[in-house]
Amino acid sequence: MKKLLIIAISFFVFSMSWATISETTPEPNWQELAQEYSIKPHHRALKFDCVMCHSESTPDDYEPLETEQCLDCHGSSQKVANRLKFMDANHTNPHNSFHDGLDLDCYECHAEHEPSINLCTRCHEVGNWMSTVK
Amino acid sequence: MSENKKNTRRSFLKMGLGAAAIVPVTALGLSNSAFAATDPKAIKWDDEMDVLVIGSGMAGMIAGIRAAETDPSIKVVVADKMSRLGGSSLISGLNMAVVGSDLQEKIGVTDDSWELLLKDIEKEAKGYNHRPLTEVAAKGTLKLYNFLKDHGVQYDMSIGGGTGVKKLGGHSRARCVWPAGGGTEVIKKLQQFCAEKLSNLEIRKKVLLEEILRNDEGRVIGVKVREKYRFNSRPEDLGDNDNPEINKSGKTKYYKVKRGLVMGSGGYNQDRRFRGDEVGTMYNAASTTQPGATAGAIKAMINSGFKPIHMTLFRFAFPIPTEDILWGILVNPRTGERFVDEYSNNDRQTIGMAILEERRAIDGEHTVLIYDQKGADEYHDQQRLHLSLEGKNGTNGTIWKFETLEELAINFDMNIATLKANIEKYNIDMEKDQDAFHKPKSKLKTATSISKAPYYAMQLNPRYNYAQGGALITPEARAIDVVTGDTIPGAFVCGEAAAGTYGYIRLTACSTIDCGTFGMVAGENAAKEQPWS
Repeated sequence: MKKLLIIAISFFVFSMSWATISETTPEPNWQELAQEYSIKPHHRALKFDCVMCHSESTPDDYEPLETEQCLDCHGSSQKVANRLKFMDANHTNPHNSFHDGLDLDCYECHAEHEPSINLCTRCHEVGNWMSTVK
Repeated sequence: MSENKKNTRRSFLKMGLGAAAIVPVTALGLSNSAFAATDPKAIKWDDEMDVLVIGSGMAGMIAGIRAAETDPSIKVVVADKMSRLGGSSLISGLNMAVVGSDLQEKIGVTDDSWELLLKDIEKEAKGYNHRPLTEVAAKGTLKLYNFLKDHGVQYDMSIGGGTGVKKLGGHSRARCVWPAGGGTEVIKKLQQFCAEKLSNLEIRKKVLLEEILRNDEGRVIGVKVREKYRFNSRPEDLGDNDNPEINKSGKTKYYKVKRGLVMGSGGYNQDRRFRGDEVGTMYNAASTTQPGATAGAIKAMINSGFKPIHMTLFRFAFPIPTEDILWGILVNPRTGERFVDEYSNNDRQTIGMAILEERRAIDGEHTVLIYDQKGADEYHDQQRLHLSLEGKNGTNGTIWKFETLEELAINFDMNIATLKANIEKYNIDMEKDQDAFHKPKSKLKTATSISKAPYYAMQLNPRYNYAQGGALITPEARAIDVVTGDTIPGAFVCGEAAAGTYGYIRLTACSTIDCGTFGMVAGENAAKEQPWS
């Protein structure tokens, strides 16, 4: 009888605390977040959602990505630079440029939740060098 | 006020105004100090180092290297708030005036001297400089040249007709040399040296300096920073990045700095509000320094009692040498009229301010500099002319070539009739040496008219690219307390962040020697400071 009582009480206490936990950690509104933080067409085509890039436990804790995280998928600075290898001759390859070589962080130009910018155009007239930065 | 204090004050005044006679403020028993003292025991330090250098441009890197070399047993950290290291140095040409180099010897210049360089510098400084500081830079050029060579930097031998050395405007001798690949070469080679040879030096990106902490004796003991800071290059005023309400990125940390803090944090040229407060029209000026050149660091220094000087002084840079402007005419594109003497004694400030003023009257549209072929032939710096013709001379640095004035006028949206009329007037007046703006015919050599096709034109705009203002230092690169006038223990400033070496204008090819000579001094002295803890 005592054993049954103990089991009953523990079950009761357990179910109470379970209810409390689920009340204090509400599920983020993923759809709202996806609208506020839109992603680029090339990532959307791959059906990415937030957790593909962000590893923090809740969206409130999400930090801007470091270069290493982009390279988890994009390989390495050298690999990215090789895609525009034909621009090396004039040192105008944005991923292997005269000033920065392979040292540029991705986010100097590329942004996911807002338009990207072209760092080179801060100082140079790029004219025929390059088109839009995705 | 107590009787005691009154008497002390009267006797203080009696001593007169000579610097030697001034009683240090601390001796008067006044409790005002320039900073709020920090109790080191009240801080939970997250990290510690012997020497912390703020800024990874030429000044900061050289200071860090010298500190690490001076004492291999100490820990040196070079921290930069940007994710792109190298500051403005990375994207500058970084040419430098060197007295007594092997390159100078080879072209037979044997009568150059630091005294002559000092004279050239002071002619531009017009009395604003502090000679003991200027002498440090003027005397240290050969040492710096060799230091850079020893640390991997190569010099460009293609300039100066293959000699590697050139005589630039304002210099009495051919003495200016270029690193091969400009500032990028210097920064990359110095970074490489650190990675390969200095195990006690660490470079950290994205660390923003927020506060400099001094203890109750006034010694610098540490800093408050934000790690993983993200500078945002999108705001209209890049200076907004220093406002924690606007840019909240990063996590607060406290670094204990045991021996010395070296500020190699550069200028504030990109900070519209800060520079606009000093000089009204400067709010709208362009700048091609690195975007991170904002006022956060100088504000942190001022906030902890470092004495700022020369804050209203500024230096314009043009994409072309100032002394090559006079060959052409500067016109307002809407009226076709000239508005300034394009010679103006080669005073870049006068010409620059005239351009900004004229632009203010036409909603910020650019004024246009027009040459004819005679003017192009007179160009001192054919190297730069060709860079501009190739479109590789930076923002508003491009020079366009036109077969006719009609094509030129169409390109810049100008009325060809008024343009031609104004050019005609200029040619007629100059023939009689009676220019409306008193431009002297004697200076123009063969370019005394705009008449011979093809024509060349550019949108000449002054860039605010050097901030003379900064923290006053001693020849030992020590910062000065604004209230006591004493040096601040543990505090060093070098390069553009410091002030006093130059003045009204900085002579061309001299920022490097200031960064380098004082960088060396600051690094060595910081390493030798007695640790406070």
